[in-house]
Amino acid sequence: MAARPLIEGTVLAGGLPAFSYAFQPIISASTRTIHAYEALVRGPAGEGAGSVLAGLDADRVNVLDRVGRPLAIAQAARLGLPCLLHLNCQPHSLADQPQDMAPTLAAARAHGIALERLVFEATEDQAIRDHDAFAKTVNGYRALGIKIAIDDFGAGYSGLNLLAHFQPDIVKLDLDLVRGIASHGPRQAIVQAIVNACFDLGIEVIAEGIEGIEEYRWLTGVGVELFQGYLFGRPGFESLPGASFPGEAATP
Amino acid sequence: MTLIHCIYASAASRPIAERELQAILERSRVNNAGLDITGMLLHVEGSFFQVLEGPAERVAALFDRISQDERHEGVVEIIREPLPRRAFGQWSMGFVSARPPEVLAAIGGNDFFGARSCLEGLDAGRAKKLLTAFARGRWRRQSGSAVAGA
Ligand SMILES: Cc1cc2nc3c(=O)[nH]c(=O)nc-3n(C[C@H](O)[C@H](O)[C@H](O)COP(=O)(O)O)c2cc1C
Repeated sequence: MAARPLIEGTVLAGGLPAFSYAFQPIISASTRTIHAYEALVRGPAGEGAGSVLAGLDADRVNVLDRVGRPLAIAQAARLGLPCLLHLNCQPHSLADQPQDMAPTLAAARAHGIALERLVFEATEDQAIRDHDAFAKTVNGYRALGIKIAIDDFGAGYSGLNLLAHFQPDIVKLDLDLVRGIASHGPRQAIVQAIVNACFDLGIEVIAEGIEGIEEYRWLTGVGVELFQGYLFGRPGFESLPGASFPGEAATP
Repeated sequence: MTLIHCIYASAASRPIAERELQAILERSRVNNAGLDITGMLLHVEGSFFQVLEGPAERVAALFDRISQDERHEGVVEIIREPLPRRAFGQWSMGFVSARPPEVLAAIGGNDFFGARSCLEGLDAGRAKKLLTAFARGRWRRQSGSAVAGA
């Protein structure tokens, strides 16, 4: 891997605003443990992601994406990361520009985080027209042990047909599909279909944006095992916060 | 060369005798060892589930050969993808013939078949997840009418 300038230097060179990370737990419903943390970009004093990303053009978002991941890895390592770490990736840096990933891989090595503990989250969006080429590149990371999660699954261009070309390790259900699911028939039918297909293909499903116990209960009922949302824990700025586990819905 | 695994399910063409299964396994173990291929074969009530892992081209060639074997039918490839490391590295071809609850118990960490089973201490990964799905009735092939179970 090519050596890169220090993170801070790169940040300045990229003309980016200062930024840092918050970490939100992803929990396992059956073992009642924290399964992973997702690194979420924040302002230098914990301001929301919007304050950092506002006004950045696509190129600078890519730069932030590229230089940010090593920073998130360094922070997580310093905080004593005990589990997996989810990192967001522009699909384009994943698919078209493998060299964008070099600093991320180097940071993981430098901070003693095994590649098996990294999960790259990408949104399968319009930008990726060639599913098979995307699959080929992404499978290159998977051969290194890095897991791939498809974010916002079930929204826009990212539907079940994607799984005909490529079987990721994880899908994260689109927020809009999960919202109010306990009382919404069409969403239940769609999510049930996604969960079935993922079970048949050995793909893990994460439900994110979970705020209500009803959503959690319905989803555990159809076999969803991994969850993220305020119900379990908010993102902690520059910290790895604990999580709470809804009592009644414990799976035996 | 890229390390991959290929995982498929099939159905025995006709009831298969224990002796015949043993013959397949003996050949498999000799052949696979020579090809640097490892994996496992699961036999559940007339259905097969097999994991083949090794160098991409050799796995592909072996899978083609196995697909032609008339002792089974309805061969369906479930997954073929690169791997960071083998899940059955010590098994030129591990073998389990059992009923679903026993398979689930073994995968779940109950040392049902004892420490010398290829299902013992399996990494959480695709092979283990698909084995779980298979033991729960998915991909279970029936001779003649092949359907993924509900
Ligand atoms: C369910 C099933 C699984 C098999 N698995 C293997 C295997 O892992 N390796 C192998 O060499 N042959 C396997 N075979 C046998 C092959 O189809 C073929 O008969 C054999 O490779 C021929 O080997 P030979 O040329 O040494 O006789 C399998 C057959 C069946 C029905």
